[in-house]
Amino acid sequence: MLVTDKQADIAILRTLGASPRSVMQIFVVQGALIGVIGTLIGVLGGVFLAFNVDVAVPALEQVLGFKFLSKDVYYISELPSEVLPVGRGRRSASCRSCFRSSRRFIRAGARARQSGRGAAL
Amino acid sequence: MNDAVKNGAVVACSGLQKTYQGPAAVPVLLGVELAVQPGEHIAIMGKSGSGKSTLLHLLGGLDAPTAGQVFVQGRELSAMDEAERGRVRNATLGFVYQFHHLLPEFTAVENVAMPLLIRRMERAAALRESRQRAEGSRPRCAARAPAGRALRRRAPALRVCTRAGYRAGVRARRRANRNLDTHTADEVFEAMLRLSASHGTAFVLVTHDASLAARAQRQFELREGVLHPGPLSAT
Repeated sequence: MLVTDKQADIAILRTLGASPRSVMQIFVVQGALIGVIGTLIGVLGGVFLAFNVDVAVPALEQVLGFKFLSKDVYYISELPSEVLPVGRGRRSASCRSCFRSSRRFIRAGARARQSGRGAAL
Repeated sequence: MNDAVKNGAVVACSGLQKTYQGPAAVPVLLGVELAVQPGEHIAIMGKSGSGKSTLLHLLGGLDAPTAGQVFVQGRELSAMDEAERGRVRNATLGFVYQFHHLLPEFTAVENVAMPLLIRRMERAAALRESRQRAEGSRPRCAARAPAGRALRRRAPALRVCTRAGYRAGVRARRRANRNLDTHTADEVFEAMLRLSASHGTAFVLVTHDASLAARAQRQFELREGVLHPGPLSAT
């Protein structure tokens, strides 16, 4: 989509002598940047939300005007939330561990699925 | 053709043919012969769809001919790889577009500097040189203003100064006047004449405007895939 939006700009760069390769690099770098920044925002936002679920969920309920898990039905007074590192051991929300975990996720689907509750409520 | 190349033509083509392949093959150029001398201004006219743009694309190495050869400063474009053609475009060819094309993410000066940046000139030096070029041109580009709407009307003129860094070469100018008011078109033309005088830049002007074409030194009409020299018939 980015590439189709930028067809005219690509044409300009090509007439100014940019090689197809360097034009491609622009989009590769841009795509990678969007990916990394998106991942960071997602991880930070997700972890923040998980740590503050006791505040966030009632606030959301207030806004929407209904209870997700009504006490009358579920007998749950609070929403459990825990941030688990995917895999063994250390707790970390750093980019490195996120990469590592995504690698593990690919390698061992079952284990990752199990520990995937890290992000679940 | 070799004669034309030996005679110092900056851009020349011989037996240039282009057929667009598709469900039905569309022959556009059927053998175009052209030699442009340094500092020369030639005008090419022709009906819409007669192949004027195709010819410009081929002369600039942006498209490959079906048959025939294109020479830029004596070197054959089709014998080069894509990167080499890019270097030739960067250093010796300029395109002035029909529509106002600037890269909107960059300032006016950065747009002027773009060819220098593409050839990996150091950024500060490229911007310095471009600022000097832009100062000498009519647009007097607002150096730090993003090249947004306000500058669009000036874009073709600015594009001329974009190419000002080049000592020689050919300018493929596309029907700029169609998309410009007369005053701006004249400005662009004057800028071209100045460049031509100071750098020996040749211009290939593709236009629908007969009065503009009449100001060039030689006129051609592209008709039925062949370039016909001389006085223009009604287009």
